[in-house]
Amino acid sequence: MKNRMRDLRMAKEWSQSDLADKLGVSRQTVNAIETERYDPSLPLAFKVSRVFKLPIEEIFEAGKE
Amino acid sequence: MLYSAFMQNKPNLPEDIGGSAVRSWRQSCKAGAVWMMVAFMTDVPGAWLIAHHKGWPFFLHIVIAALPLVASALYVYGIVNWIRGMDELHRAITSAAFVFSIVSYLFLFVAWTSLNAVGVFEAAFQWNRLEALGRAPFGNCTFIICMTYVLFGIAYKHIFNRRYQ
Repeated sequence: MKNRMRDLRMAKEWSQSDLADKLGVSRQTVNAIETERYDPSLPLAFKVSRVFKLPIEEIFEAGKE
Repeated sequence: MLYSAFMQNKPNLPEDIGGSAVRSWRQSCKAGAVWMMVAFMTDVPGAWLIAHHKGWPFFLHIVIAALPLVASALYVYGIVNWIRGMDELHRAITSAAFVFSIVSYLFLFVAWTSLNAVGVFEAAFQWNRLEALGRAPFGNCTFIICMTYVLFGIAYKHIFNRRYQ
């Protein structure tokens, strides 16, 4: 699954640790999501959308089926 | 009507659903480690006591034999609590490594027992007296905890965690 988390985080000038604190996860989790090695659960995706104040579909994009 | 009212009241945000386990990582880890030590300290001495004091009352034998099992169960409970307190990525990695260690242990147990039954260890190691390897104590609490711990460490560090580095 593709996502724009890195771009959105950079736009807000947050570090991965800052975002991890806001989401209540570890920095490794943020890094794994940004590099698209890990797809977050639905509750975490909701948290991400709330932190960036954007709808989920503007942050995450389904890959090819 | 009732049905639609119920559906409208259903929580749809993660924090509304609640029930997530928020526990101290250190607390759960400590609890698991303490029970692991209790299992170690009661397992081998317990087996020795039972073997050398056969005249003791039967119920005392049961209590001595059950102590390491109860400690092991509490150790597993501590580990489960520790896993539940993690964030989702680490929970996935740790759970996968935990399952891997249990399945690998079962595989080793079956393979080792089968090889021993056909006399592979006796044939291979009789010259250096290592044939006793075939009688590895797979049912022993201390052995189970140590082996699964080692297998867990290998799986965690070198397989599952590596994927997300």
